[in-house]
Amino acid sequence: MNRRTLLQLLSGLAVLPVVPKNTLASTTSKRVILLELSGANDGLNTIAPYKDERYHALRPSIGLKKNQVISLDDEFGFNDALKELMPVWDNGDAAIVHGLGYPNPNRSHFKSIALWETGSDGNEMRRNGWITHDIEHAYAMSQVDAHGISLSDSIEIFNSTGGNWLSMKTAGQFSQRSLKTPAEKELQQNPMMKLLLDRAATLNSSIEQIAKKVENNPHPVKPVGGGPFNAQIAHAINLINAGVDTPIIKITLSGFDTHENQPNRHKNLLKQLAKGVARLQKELIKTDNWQNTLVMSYSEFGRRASENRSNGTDHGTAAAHLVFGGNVEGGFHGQHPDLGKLVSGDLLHTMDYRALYSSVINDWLKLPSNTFANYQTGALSGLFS
Amino acid sequence: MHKNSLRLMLLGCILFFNTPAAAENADALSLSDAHHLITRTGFGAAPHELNNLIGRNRVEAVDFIVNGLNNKTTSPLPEWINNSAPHHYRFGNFSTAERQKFRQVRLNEVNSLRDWWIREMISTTNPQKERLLLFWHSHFSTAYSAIDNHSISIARQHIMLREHAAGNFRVMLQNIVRDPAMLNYLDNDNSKKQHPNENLAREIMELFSLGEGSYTELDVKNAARALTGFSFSDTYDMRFVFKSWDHDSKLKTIFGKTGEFDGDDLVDLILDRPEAARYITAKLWRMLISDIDLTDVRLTQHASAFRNSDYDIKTLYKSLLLSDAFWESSNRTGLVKSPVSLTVGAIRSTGILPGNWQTLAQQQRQMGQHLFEPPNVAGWPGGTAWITPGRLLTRLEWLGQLANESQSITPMPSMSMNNLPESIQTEVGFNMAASMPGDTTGQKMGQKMDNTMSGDQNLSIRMASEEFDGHVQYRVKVYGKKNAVWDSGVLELAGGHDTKRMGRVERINLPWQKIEFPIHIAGQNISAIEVSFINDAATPDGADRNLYVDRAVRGNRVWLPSEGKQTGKCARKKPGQRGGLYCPGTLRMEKSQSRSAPSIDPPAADTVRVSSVNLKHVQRAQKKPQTEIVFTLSDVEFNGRFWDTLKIKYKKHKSGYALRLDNTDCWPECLTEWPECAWHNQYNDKTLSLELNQDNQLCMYTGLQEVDKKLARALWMILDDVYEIGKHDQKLQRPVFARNYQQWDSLVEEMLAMLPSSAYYDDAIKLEIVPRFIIDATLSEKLIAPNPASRTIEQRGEDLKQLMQNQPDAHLATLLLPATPTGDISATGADLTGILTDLSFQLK
Repeated sequence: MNRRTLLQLLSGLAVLPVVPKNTLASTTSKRVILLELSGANDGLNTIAPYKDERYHALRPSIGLKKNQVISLDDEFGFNDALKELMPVWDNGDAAIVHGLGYPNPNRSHFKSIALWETGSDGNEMRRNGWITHDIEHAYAMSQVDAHGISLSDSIEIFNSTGGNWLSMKTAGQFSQRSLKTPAEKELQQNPMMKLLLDRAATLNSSIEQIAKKVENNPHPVKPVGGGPFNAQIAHAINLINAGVDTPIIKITLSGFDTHENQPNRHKNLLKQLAKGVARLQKELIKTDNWQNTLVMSYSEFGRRASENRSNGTDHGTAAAHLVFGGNVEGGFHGQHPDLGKLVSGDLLHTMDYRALYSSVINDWLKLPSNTFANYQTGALSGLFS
Repeated sequence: MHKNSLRLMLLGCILFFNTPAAAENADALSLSDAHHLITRTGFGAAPHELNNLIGRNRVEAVDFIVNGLNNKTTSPLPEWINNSAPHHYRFGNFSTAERQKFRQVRLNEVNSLRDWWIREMISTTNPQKERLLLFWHSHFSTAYSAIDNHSISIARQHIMLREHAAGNFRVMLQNIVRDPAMLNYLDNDNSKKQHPNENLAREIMELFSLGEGSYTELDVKNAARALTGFSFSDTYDMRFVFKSWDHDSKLKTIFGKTGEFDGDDLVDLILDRPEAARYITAKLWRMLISDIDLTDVRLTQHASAFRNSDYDIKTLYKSLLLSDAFWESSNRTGLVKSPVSLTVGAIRSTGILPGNWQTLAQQQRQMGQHLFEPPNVAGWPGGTAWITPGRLLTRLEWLGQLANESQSITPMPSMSMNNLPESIQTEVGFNMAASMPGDTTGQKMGQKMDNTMSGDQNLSIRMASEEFDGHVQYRVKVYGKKNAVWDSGVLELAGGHDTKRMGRVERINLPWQKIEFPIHIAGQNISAIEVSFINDAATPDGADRNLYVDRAVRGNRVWLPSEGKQTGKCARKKPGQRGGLYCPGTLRMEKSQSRSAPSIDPPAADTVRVSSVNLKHVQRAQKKPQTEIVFTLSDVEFNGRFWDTLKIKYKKHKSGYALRLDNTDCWPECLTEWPECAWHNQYNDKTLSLELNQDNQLCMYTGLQEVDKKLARALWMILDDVYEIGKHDQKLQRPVFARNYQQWDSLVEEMLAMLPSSAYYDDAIKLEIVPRFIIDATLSEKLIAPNPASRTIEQRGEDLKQLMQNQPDAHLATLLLPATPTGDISATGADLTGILTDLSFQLK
């Protein structure tokens, strides 16, 4: 019996995948950037069914008129605030997945984002970040610089009792950290102490690696424009171009809870979103990293189909989400919810959002295990080329 | 690998440990034994706590710990908790600005409770109580973010758990199924017989009492039916109400037993199961002994003791502490400290109160534990989850900073330390200086705090900063009639949020702290307060230095940035953004407001005075034989009686109109006495139905006491005014409400026409509205710097002296670290930084 197996057992309830069976041989080549649209993005005014009269009946004031959209086909148009996304769309690097949601929807921000981040639904609550298990299972800590790095305020999506999930707020952050790890003493420490020593060693090499790579990045970029989102985009570009080896990066754009005066607020947010993604594409193409990168948006729920009296929208259910990347099959995937079949004013989801998770795990990252395999659907079989 | 070989390995570990019990007296607690008992039951080990237990035998020592499980606190709970619930039912009637303010005030309340609790943990003389409470806090997990801003419910749950933490588990569980915060968190408040919600039913079995696998899905379904109708009401002071009309009273089968069970029966059914005692015992075993091996056969005997005592928590707690398992070497230094344990323990054991102690909650949050915000219903996962690489980094950095902090404070030279060994002298110096009252408000320059002077004359400003490469510098000026009458000079704000390492955060998550300024300007009125930000700096990659001002308070006056003016390059124009100083500039606040409502004379006789009339609900009136319109009256005063809330329902039914009051529609109690015919079922539900057509149910009115008759008349007589006021209600912004409301015009007219010939006619009645504004009661709250473990510097010096006399071989590392350090910490040479950042400090 080797020491690691022992550790695994001794760490009690913790599933610590120190030596997973199906470890992928190479280090990560593909990565996912999780893009949280915090506050609940309004799917209907992001990708608008602007030719549907029912859409305008539901939203007489805030519904997007023909001159407020960029037509994508004969049914749908981008909110024109997404103008800067057009090079990405035209390149076939942007996919729209319609009608994502889950059964028995919860309309509380806190509760519903926890469902999306753990891969749960209104009937069953899971507790760890949705991708943590399959990533930890695939990559030993020593194989990656980190299992995932959150560049935003929240790290709940990485909740896990094992794994090397880091939070990094600024690019140069780790260069200033130093941590002395004691030389590992022989078997005179208890199991928890051994685990701690192990973690500290991982952390040390992780910090060292990341700091070294970031420092040696020949072409670091700076944020264009102020605000935390632009900083996160620049930070993500720098980590990737520096060669930091991590399969998951998480960023957040906040402010989507548009109960009042939605049009202007929403446009501002979508502009930031488009600019950020366009910049990611541009910078990562330069370094040949765009082909390996997938950006996928998520949000706690969509918004109510009909507008409210304050020029806004209230908490709803299903929404479309966006997937970007050099290997993404651009265009529309899945079915748009029927605007004529609302359930208490809300859209009925046409696809369980975990189908997208499954597709990302199975078809994109090609991980050896897939927690959401049950949700795999043919409707997304063409998402990646 | 089998369990047996696992056990074998554990046994192997024992051989490498020094046996802690000394040979002479096997039962007398050594320094290391005492350290073990104190850190496992509390937070860290302060020198006097060690002195107190070293040399006692186990039974005495454990008795001492158990006897300390009392309800003593070092300071009273924040005052707002004693108030009645805020008027959450008015949320839908608020404007956007009011909603924002209301939410902010609720958040301030929860923050004040959290800060109070952390302060209590630092200063308490019975840490075992606070630690046990923390255990239950995570066990009965409830997140404030998920319960609709109901700060009062979170606070009341805290008080309930505090009261029963060392009491009886059955009583605790009985309280939990009636706890509004929990009912809200697990969605039971809307669980109806038609659609039972299984959330609470499932979690109460899986997480709160039995553990997975000890029940069937059918048990969950039936338990959910038993819990239907267990709810709370926002017009009933946010207290528990049993909604009998939503309750499924039919037969249910749970754990093979059949009956008309409700939520209270469910608790008894659960506790009849042997798994319950086993589950709670295992969980407490994880807290006190080990979270590795839960298959230990010895667990069974403790579970039996617990069950036999009918779930007396102290019995179980004591039984575990007296067990051999608790004391054996293989079970020592094997538990990871939670962020709260780590930080509070470091402070209590070293005596160093960090300058930014007021923002400890935010620092714990960075490490993954934000009190009152557990991540989900399972509570904090704990154990190895606390030391993921990312979190470990934050923890070590925090400890390094704490150690650094002690060095930046000049030791107090006057204490006699001649009798102490040299190795410990410097450290004592740190402790003493760190415990000095006053030097604890996060300031380093120019300012000497004086906590002894009258607090009311102090100007206190709530501020936060973002920083990098140095602290924010600022200056405060106070103006009298014309000129500045007080000037702080340039000061530094320590304890800011480090943007270089941590990036930016939302304003609400900044480390807010109250800085007190002793201004001596007796007899002068303040015409303005200015706060200037001096040393702005920023880098393109997001590091930034900014100053934020939330409010200034002196005596009864409050100045808010939203009412002020801001100058400087990037001065914020919008009121909500003012107070954020992103560039050098000055915030000038002239207007102030009173912190408390002005007192006014009581209303005239027969006048109903309210602070607001709001539309609660309105149903369609046309083509419906039965319909109702519902209003809420807030802060009602009438003929010397007071109600926080009255919810009145005007109803149309088949044979006329009625005004209806249910017993949960008023807080406090609607009537002095309910007429006999108002009691209508076995659940003690009472409904007063005041029919406009007096032929109907006359007993309802005639059965009332005289004062209640007056009230009944008043509630009818104000209909006209109430309906008029309702026409301007914010709720009518929603088209469906506006349409329905209009339909009531003719019905109200009809009622008003009938009133004069009814028994309720009373033309003396008047309605008067005296608005009240959303008051932030936390404004007056003040946290005085705590003495860690309630020991003054002088006491701490004596404690250490005594300890060293009795334990001549002890040194700083043996006092602070649980067992063999991992690093090279030699007996005398180690510095505090080395000791606190030694990996073994992560464990207990």
